[in-house]
Amino acid sequence: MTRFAEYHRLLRANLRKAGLPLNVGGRGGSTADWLRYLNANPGAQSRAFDAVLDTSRAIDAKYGTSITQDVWRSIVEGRFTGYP
Amino acid sequence: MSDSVYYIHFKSKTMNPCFLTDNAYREATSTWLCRGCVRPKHDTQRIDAHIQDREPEGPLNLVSGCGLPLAQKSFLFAFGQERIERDLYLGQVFGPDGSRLDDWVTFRGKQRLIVRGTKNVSHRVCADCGRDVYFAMGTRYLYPAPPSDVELFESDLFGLIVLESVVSELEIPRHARVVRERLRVLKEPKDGLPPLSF
Repeated sequence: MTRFAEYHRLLRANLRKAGLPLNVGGRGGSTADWLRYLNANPGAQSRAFDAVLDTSRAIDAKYGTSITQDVWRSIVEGRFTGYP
Repeated sequence: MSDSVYYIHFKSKTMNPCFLTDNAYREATSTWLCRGCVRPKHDTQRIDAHIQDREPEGPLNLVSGCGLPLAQKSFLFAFGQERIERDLYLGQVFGPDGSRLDDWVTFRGKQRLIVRGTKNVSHRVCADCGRDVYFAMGTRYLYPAPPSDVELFESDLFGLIVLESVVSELEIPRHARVVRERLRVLKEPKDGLPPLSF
């Protein structure tokens, strides 16, 4: 399994653990699906960020990558759509 | 209306949405964008979009953060120019350097529909504009029956909803990044909610 595939498998598991039912890409997991979900569920975006950060930390610890740093930079620079 | 009426929902699969430029976003928040539900305000018609992307992924896409669907003209106009002009408001799309992206338009339905579902249902009412904000998974359907004098609708999933009998008369190009969902019109909703609008 590639790191990319491993990241996505772990991310999907962490999102489910956080109570977020959508896929990441694929059926029912497109950007449109996610935007609709985040808009209708206040607070879900924060839980999604936590799941992304947990996943990034786990992959960084295993492979020595710097995904967590890149995710934080995106958050700090506001490169996301803020939902209520 | 009989519950054997079907519509076809054309929806983008993209994971690469577009974003407004910083200036365009600031202007949107002070004019047409509702901050409470991140969608255009009710009375908004045609919207021109200045986006950060030079080559959006087509043929359907969306501008994240403002609830604005995008379409390539070559795809959209397969539904018929007269029908498009009657049922949709179209706006121009500009790239980051200010040049117009000639094959792209924003679209906004004069009539808009929420695609209903059966599982993981959530719903809130926007505190700012009063719009229904909805999410559901499971089997998708429409409720109540859409107005019969309209042939093209914007969906709350940034897509197009078209009467199946109209689609069958047209040659709409198949595209790997566009999902076609067949939506049944139900007499009773399966999510326990009343008629909704956005």
